[in-house]
Amino acid sequence: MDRKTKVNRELANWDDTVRRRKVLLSNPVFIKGLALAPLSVAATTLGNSLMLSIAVILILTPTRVITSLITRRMSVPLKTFFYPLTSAVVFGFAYYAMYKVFGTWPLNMGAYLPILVVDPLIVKNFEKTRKESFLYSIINGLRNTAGFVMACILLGTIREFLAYGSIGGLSIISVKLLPMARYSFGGFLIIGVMCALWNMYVNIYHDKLKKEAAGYELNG
Amino acid sequence: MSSMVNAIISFFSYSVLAIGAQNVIFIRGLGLSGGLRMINDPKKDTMYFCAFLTLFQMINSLLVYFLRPLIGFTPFARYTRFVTPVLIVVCCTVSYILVVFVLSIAVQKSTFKRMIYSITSASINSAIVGTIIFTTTLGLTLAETIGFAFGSSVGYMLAMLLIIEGERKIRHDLVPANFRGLPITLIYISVLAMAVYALTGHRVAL
Repeated sequence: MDRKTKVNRELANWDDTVRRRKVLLSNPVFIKGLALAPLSVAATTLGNSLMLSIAVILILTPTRVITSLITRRMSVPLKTFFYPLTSAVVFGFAYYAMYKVFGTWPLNMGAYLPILVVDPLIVKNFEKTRKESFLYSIINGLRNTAGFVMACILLGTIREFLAYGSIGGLSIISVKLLPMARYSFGGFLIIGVMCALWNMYVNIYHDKLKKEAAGYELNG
Repeated sequence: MSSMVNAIISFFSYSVLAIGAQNVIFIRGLGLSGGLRMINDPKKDTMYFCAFLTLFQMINSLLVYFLRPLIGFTPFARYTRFVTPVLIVVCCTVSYILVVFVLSIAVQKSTFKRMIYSITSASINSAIVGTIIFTTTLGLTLAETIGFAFGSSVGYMLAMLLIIEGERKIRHDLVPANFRGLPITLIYISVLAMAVYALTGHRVAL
């Protein structure tokens, strides 16, 4: 497919383009505002962000795949509890595996790992009346996971740098630029600013596509 | 008599703690994604949502308080920490079925239809699960657990009212385009959270 056809197709199906590009155009955190609780409070360092990311990698796609296979004929109220129940069972195994590999580090995150089992990031799919195919549940699960992991790592790195002057425990500067970044209100503020930057990126990308399409039209 | 007075004092102390210093949204960030989705969802009624959240929070906290020690008598005794989320979800399911059953008999069909959407989303969310995990991890007594659960729900309702009022008052035409919607709301919540933190002056308990 040449560039012109690709640009026109992306613009014509803009909503679909946004939906498919979970990492950048429809990021689950910065655009949709999902998983704000663990990110605003617990993702204060790169290490904590890695723990959250590993938990989401282990829970999100398996939960989505299992529920897509079982809940096809279920009503929404029934799904409301079946989704969290599935994610809680998957989480139990994931949490134990993380405990065996990383020791007490995941346990030190308190309630912010277990609450993932009911976070809209993992379970919001139950609200959809459309049935999800097995393959689509894997693809969409991986897209959402990638979007969350990128946002989480980025946020943890920025917050650790601003709050402690270090990245991944390695001291970069001796000055603490924004000590409030370690607190929940600092988390809300930084996520808010990141959301605005993300919106700006999406708008710039959309405008760029429009200009490119107009250029192709002018040149025939 | 003195144990009764102690229980009452514990209840009120933990309620106040949960409303302010450990506010479920501003300090612990719990239930924020769901709350923000609720504001923009015309099918969900905030007052119904918060009222049922309080009811479910109380019922589930009590159920988990009494049932969690029973895990010790099962083959999962060594894995209590890892099984607790499953237990909480099961308790949420049981309480939802109970409440829906009672309401379907007690209230008019039209009112029940208006309520059901809010009931479903209020019955299970991170505000409830996070609060229950917090109370079980700290090993609070019955009075403290009830007080903390009640205070968390009231704190959630007050926080949501402040956020909704703020959303209503923000003049979006004066806000830069990229900051409209979620970004400006989060920045507003950040300012409110900072004010709560300034009043209490200590960090969140993980």
